[in-house]
Amino acid sequence: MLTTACSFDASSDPNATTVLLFPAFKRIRNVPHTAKGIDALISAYLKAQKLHSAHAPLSDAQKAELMRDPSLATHLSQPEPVTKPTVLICGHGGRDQRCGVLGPILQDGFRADFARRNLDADVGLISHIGGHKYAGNVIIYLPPNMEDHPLSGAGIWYGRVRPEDVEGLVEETIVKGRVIIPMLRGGVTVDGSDIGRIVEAQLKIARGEDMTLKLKPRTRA
Amino acid sequence: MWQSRLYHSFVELRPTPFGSAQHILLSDITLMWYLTMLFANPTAAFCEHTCAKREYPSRATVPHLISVIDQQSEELDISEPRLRNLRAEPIPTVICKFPYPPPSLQLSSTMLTRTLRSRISRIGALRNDFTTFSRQQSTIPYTETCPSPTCPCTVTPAGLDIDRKTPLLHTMAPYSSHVLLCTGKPDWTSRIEDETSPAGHFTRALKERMGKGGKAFDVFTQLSRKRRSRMADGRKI
Repeated sequence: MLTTACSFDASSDPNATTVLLFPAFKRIRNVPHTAKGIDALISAYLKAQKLHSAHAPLSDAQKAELMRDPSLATHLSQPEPVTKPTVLICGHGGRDQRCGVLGPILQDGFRADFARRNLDADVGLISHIGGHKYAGNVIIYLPPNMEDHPLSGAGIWYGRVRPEDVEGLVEETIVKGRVIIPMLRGGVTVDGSDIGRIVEAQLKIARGEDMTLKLKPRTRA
Repeated sequence: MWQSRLYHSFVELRPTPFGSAQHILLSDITLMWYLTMLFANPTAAFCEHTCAKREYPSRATVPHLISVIDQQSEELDISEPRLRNLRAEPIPTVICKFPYPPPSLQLSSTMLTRTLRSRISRIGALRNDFTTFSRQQSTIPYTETCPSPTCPCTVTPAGLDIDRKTPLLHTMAPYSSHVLLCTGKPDWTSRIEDETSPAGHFTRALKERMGKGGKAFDVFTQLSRKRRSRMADGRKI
């Protein structure tokens, strides 16, 4: 689980927080700051849907504690689907100057580019996601309702994004649905697969590297 | 396409076409040999059977298949030292369309000793654990270059110490869910937990419950595989 703050509009209720969940692409408004509200969010949306087999020896009560319980979602407001492409840029200047300087510039760049293309997308700054030295750090979530888009439902992580790369990034990834290798840090697909690994395997094949089966004994000490 | 690595006591078959991985811990070189031959380097008989019937060899057909393999092995004179240099051929793509994962238990029941059978029966349980790891069915369209800008855009500010050498791929850890707390402001304290705002309170509450030692902490769901294995080794995560 990755928890970050973001610059999207806060809840109007000072005792509640609006939460976005990816790659579930859900927006849950006004999660109350009470123990009950936070427990409901964890149990209904964040716990495992299927327990790992290593948990098998646990008692039923302990297992139930770790399992997702969708019925608790009724304690929270109805989740709204996130239907627009969402661009999140690390702008955590309070932690590191590099993201702090580049984040807002990139945010303006993305907004200007979306306006020029007349494309409806959300752009926001987020807190630390790891790798300030790879600033600007950009995560692009493409909602599952973008049918026929090759990356619909995926989250793509880019690093070393320069303001001059923004136009190409929007063109390639959001419009055409292709990841840009030199800036790719990784990503998650709609079913939870690791985009980095998939792309790496494809690159190996494309570069003609030997993908035939190799059987190598481990050298004994 | 299959990827396989063979160690002296460890066979790892990654049947990506089926969307599931098998890690089989074995000590018997013979069994490894059969499994490798059958699944990683399918013989003509195996291909014929699986392609024609779109199913895996049943208990009844395994002895026949094994005898075919034995015969071929003899002809090829593959003894254990030569196994090290074995290079299997890529599997024809038609094989990649099996409707379900290979029934390992059926194979084991005919050709394995009782001890090995008990080990093999763990395959099913193990396989479930690696589903997220191996669900790599889809292809991701990509481009090797970022197109140059056509508009006069802002340039990168000078003086930022950006690492432009380290390869970027795999510099993120896969996660099960990304929780974004909407704060309405563009910058925060170094640690979100230190915020006095609702986001700080919320993050603290989430970490208290889902972090290490929390009631809802589930290492297998929340941590990436790398951090999980570091934790298993007793190292700091």
